[in-house]
Amino acid sequence: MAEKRVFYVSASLLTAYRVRRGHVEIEARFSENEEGLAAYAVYLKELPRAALIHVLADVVEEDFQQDTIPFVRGADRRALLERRLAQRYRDPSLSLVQSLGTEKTQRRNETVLISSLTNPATLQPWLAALREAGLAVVGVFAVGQLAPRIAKSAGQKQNPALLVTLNAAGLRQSYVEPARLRFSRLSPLASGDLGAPERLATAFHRETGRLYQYLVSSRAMAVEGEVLDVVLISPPDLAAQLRATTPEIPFLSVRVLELAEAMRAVGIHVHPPDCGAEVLYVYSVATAKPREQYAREALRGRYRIHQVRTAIFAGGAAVFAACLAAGGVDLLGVFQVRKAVEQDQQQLAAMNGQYARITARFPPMPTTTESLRVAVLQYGQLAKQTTRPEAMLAEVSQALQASPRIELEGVKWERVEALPAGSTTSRKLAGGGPFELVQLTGHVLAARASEYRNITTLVNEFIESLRRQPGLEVVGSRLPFDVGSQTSLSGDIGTERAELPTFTVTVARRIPG
Amino acid sequence: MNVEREALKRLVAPTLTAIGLIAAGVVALAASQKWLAHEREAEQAVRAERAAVQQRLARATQEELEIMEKLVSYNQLVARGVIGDEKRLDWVDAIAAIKNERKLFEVKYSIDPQRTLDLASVKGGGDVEFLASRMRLELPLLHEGDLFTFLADLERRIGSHVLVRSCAIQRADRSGAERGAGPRLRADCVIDLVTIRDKRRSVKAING
Repeated sequence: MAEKRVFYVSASLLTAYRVRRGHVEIEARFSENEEGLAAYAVYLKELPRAALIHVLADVVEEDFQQDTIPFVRGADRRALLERRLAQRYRDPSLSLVQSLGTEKTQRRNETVLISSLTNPATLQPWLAALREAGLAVVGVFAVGQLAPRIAKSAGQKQNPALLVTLNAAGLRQSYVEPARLRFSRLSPLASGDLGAPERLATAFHRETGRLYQYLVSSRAMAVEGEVLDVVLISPPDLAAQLRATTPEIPFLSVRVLELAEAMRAVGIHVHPPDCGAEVLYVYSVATAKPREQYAREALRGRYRIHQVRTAIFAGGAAVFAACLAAGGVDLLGVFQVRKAVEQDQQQLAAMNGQYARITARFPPMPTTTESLRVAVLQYGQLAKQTTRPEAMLAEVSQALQASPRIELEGVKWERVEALPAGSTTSRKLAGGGPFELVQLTGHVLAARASEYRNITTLVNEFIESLRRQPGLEVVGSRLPFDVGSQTSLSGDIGTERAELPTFTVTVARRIPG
Repeated sequence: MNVEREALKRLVAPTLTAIGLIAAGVVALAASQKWLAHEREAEQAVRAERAAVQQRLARATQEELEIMEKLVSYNQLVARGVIGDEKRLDWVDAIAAIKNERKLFEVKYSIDPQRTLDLASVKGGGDVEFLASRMRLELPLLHEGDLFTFLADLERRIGSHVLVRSCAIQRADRSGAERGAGPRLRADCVIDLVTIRDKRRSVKAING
């Protein structure tokens, strides 16, 4: 946290305050003379480099004017306001324009409050030394700027009010509408007024009455003719006097608040002894961080660097914090997951125990349950798919009985997983094996080799009788003679051939399972 | 300009600090995310295990019945000699006995080394292996019934499971003088003699 200093500048005096949370203390006081400025320069050198300086001007030479400007934005608005300031003030180097809102008419003119510290020379020696010292100047502020905040702390939240305080520089009167300053002025009091409480009370009431008249005549008040609340922040021991001597002024409702009470309201717990109401402004300017101030950017270079430094650091810290927060969420997730895992493991252990109790009732096992299952189930599959040749050959035999002139030379039975390529299969055999496959080789009895037609007919009849067997499927055949149109056919009629023409038939059936 | 240089100098420390903070934050976040992912994986694994055990538990009663039933079959296979080591000498004795009992002419056989059974639907699994020893038979036959009887006897007498792969029957070439009482047919068969090896059973037997 940067150290905060508030330099309260009145007519010819600068009081340096150190402000911390709830604490306001005076560090030094300098008069505007050669000796004072030299001491001021030394003081500035000794200040921490990171200190943030707020210059708070409480001077008579200030001006507040309400103005109306066309509705423009950006560079045009800036140029327009610069022109207005230059027209109004001889030296507008310490001036400020605050927007009071736009009219709700078609032209949407903007109402602005133009204020200026009209005699910058009063502040220049102090500001020049500050610039020279290279300290971070947050800005130059006018006491009146803080009046809305103090009025609000004093309980004036809804209605416009006149805040009157007795500062070191004099009697400060500020007319505020909620959250907004409309007018402020400093009335230095004569030494006679400060001498006796009753004189001071009279001065309070006199100046209040005068300002009210001014506000009415200058039409600064937003709602004319209504009762105006007046909040008098009373110096110590003067509250009773003020209350007792409050004159009856129409349209004014006066409320007296002790300074100690007002300090508590703004948050000051420790303050310099015998201080005036200026500490309210000093503390407020350091803690409220007003966005608007009077100085030009040339004076605030160091503060801008401070802001960039703070922004960079804050950015890094924000990312770090975000990562930590996200990491924290992850960690929370880790603990939740771990807890869930722990519960799952407990359940798992319980279920395993339960399973163990159930399996303990099982008969003694020669092997593991899994091996038992695999061995028995797969052996069952093997047994189902195991077949011997006689069943199928018996069916072939039945077909053979219907063809007495067919004599087999050889029979080959096989157990195959798939039918040979080129087999003719029907729906019965579609969908995969295993299959029993029987290849029959034979010839026709009592026929000459040249009796093509007769032999072919007998072989075909045999094939047909095979087909009629319910379990068999003829999947291939080779006749003794190829009588197809795509092959050549030759013979020698009249000469008997020694060997008999043979045929081959292949039948198949699916092995169940 | 000096002021600008000094200003930049004043920005170095917070910039480095910010970079450090960001890096530390990112590292911390990455680590926490990795940790969380690791824990979630562990959670998934435990959940899957729990689901499996839950399922097994639900099946336990049914499994008890199944085990009782399968145990009977398993013990029968052990008793028959299908589960266990193959006994080649017993096989040879059995073949010789069948030949003599059935008065067969001759039985020629050869048995290949044992290997894994080559059958699409029977692959074994886990600690159970299905093994086969391929036997090639050559039998002169009086008629085909001798072959069928031989195969039935073989299946009954030897401990292993008999899986006939192929059998080819041919007419025997005979001269006129042999036609009386000699073999009329010749059979060539390929048979797998299947045994089951259960490694867990072996371990239990050794331990027990």
